[in-house]
Amino acid sequence: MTAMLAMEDIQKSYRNGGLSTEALSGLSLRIAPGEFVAIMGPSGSGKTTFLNVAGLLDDFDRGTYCLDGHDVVALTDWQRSALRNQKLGFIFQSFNLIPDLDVSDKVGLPLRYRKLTAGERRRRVDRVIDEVGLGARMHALPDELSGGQQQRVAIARALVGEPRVLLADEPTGNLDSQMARRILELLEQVNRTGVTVVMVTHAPELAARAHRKLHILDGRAIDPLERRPAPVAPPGPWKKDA
Amino acid sequence: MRASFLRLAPVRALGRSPGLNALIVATLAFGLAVWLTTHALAASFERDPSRGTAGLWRVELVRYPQIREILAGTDMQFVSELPSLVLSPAEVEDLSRPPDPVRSAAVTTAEVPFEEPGGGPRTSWVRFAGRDALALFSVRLAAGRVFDDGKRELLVSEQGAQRWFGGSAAAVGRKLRVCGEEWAIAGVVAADAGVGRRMHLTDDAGEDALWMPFGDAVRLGVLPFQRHPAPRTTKTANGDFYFASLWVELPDAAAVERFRGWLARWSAAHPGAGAPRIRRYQEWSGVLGTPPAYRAVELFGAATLAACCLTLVRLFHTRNRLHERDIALRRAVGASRRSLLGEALVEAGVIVGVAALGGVVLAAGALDLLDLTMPGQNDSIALSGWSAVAGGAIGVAAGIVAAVLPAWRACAQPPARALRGAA
Repeated sequence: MTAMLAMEDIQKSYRNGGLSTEALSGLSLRIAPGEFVAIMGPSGSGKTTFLNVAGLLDDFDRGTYCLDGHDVVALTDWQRSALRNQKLGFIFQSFNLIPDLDVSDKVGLPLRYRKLTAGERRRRVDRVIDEVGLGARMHALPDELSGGQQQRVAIARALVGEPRVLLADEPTGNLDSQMARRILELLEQVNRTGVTVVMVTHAPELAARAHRKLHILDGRAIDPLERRPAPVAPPGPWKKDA
Repeated sequence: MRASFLRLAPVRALGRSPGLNALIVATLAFGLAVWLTTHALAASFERDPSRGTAGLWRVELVRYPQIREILAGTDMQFVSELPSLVLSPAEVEDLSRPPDPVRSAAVTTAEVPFEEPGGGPRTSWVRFAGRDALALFSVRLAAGRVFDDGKRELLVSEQGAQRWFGGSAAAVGRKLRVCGEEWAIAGVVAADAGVGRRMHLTDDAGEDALWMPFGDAVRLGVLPFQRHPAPRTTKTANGDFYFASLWVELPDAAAVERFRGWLARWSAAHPGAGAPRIRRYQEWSGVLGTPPAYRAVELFGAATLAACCLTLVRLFHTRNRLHERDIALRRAVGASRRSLLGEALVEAGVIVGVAALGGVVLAAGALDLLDLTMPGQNDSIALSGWSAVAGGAIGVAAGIVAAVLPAWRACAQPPARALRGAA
């Protein structure tokens, strides 16, 4: 089976003045289509960098990365943008909502960069807003919404483009436990429709609900028990970890 | 409806940093207004005081190039004029008669005996001018016509006509005694003609000035000698001079070249007469070797606009820094650099469009005010359509470049960097 995300020996370092910090040092992993993977690891281990590289939000220095069969190194900016728009959805811990757009416009933002008719855009926006339970808040601005509602807007924005992969960076980090559970249920529901979900989280109880957990330490994917590089490929047709 | 409204998002984004946007608009509008105002002012000075003076050239004989050092320490204000102003009546006669059929205007001023109607004998200032002078300098007559040479005809000022005969129309055809001769009034020079300024005359002939043919000044022998006020330092630089100006109309470049050639031949035939040269009417600033003052005003306007454009780049850069996260977020959801630059262009276009319009309106208002406070211009000082369009285009172009450059830089960095910074 073709992997949805296939990374091989990815290296990424940040330069700050003369100082170079290695964030990813030879990360290799494969995530199959339809998987729900939880990425875990201590702060500074490279989880968010991995997610940024996976989501084409950041460049990497070395290695190969294929997203749904596309070698991203060879892509132009326009092709990367198209991939982000059509195959990827992002959910950020800090929601990242544009303040002057209401819920409807915010959710419809990714569709703006596609050649869709106004009617089709509106149909998709209405449907996805209903799915996340915000139909009554269609025209609310961010400061009129609770944290949970804002995150649901962010999820709706990520889903409206019908992505193949949903990348979530600690999506429940700013929410209380009850709201966190509801958001997670929403992600599970999305995953059941066949969308690959990659979620970075610190919370073991949330990670436990994923099909597979990946631990990242010092910029590498490792086996948490044996502290050695984890096997790259998922365990056959994916199933929930025991 | 909602989805199509999304297209207006870049325009609505203008409301997000209203203070900064207002500052950008004010900066560009100010720069444009200053430039447009000074440009229109300079253009007005260039074509005015006389409409159609593009073909007018001043004939000069640079006879005393050492005049500056000779006059150093004196209180003479127009030291630089002296080397070129001194033309003898014979020289004026000679130089105003080149072989080409050019119109010329010799001008000088003298104080002559005058019997004022109802007032008795006294002296009066007379402007002696060639017959074409008034037409060449677009000096308007309030009544009558220009005098004919050799017919004992003269012109009076509108103030004189009013004082002596009760009005301009009533003055035409009446007689005056000047230099012991009887002269008929052929016409009346309008009070608002701005004669001194138009003809680059530095003296003030007073309200009751008379106008007589230049040839009669020579005939009557009234051209005044001016004693050089500087201390006698050399034999050649101190002496008596006639002060007369000679202007010639040269309609095209070929005529200018022909006249220059004729001048050179004339100079060769008159040793010691000085180096002849001609200067455009618009270039004659009263100070030898310096550009007209209005050029400095225009330069100031251009420098102000340039400074405002540089400030604009900084302001747009700041604005982009404020919106960096939004740009990164749009990149994250699939916006390409090209589409984001398009959005930046729309935003910048709206901002600089408003600024350009504001600049044009401000400039038009400032020029109206200047026009009110500078009466007597031949042409009113006004913003031409071409200047407004050109100024607006410069402002829009400068603003768009200022806006797009930082937007391009913001788009060029990976979105994660801006999102990380925002988080």
